Amino acid sequence: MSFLKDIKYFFEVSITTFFSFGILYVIWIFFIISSETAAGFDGSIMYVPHAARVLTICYFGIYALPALFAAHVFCTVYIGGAYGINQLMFVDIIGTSLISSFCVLIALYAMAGLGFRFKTLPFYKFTNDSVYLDLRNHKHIIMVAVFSSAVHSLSLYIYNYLRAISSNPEMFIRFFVGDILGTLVTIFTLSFMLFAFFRER
Amino acid sequence: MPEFKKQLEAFVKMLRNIEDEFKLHSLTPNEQAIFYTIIKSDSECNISQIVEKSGLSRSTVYKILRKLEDNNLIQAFPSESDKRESIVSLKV
Repeated sequence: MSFLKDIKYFFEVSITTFFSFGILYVIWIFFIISSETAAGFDGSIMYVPHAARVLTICYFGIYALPALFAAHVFCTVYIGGAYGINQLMFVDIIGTSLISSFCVLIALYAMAGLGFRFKTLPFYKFTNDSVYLDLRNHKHIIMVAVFSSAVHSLSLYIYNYLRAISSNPEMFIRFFVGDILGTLVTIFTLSFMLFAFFRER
Repeated sequence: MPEFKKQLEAFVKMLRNIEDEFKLHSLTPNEQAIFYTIIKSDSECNISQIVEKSGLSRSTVYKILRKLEDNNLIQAFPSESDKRESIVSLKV
């Protein structure tokens, strides 16, 4: 019975993660990227799918990782490919997707190492003064978004440099700012929509 | 194993905290009605449209718009096509 519950939970999390990333990716590619590609693609200045990474890893933890990775690969290959912004080899799509999927988790561990001490992380020994990552506090979520953007942009820049894909420092800045802006815009838009459509409190 | 619904509830609570931060919920029903009218009008509209869509009197609308402006939720500026008319847009 418990096993069935675990499977059900895993499917719920996976479906939510896959579709939330997919929807944000489609929104990004149709409404945002089209206004940015004129001068060449060096990373989006408002990458809204980063919000899906942050929110799903923060709320569902490591259970969201497989679906997040699958969504990355699927969206990059099929949607990005159809739109013409994906010129990477398949091995690099796997590599960048792995980095992008794990960046929030790595950021959470980095923050724990720096003394934020979030109790919700698995495989980490916490002390009595550890504090919970308060999932109901938007400031905590935004802080994770900023840290994960830094981890994501830095690790992706290093990967691109080592694989001789790109060594343009502008790409690092654009990834960093784009991830933060994209997450903020998504979270604030969702909050605004919640207020506008479900005003009964 | 954590519960999926509880995690979603926490997510909605986080979004509502943002509303609290902007004090959107402290508006009266009439103020909310006008605020929604502005949101639904692509975030920018003139006062006549607000009066028409909200169904409130012009004086009530003016009073409420002043309050929303004081709360830094909206901003009003004269229309370029008709200087007698004010255009209202969201500030948040």
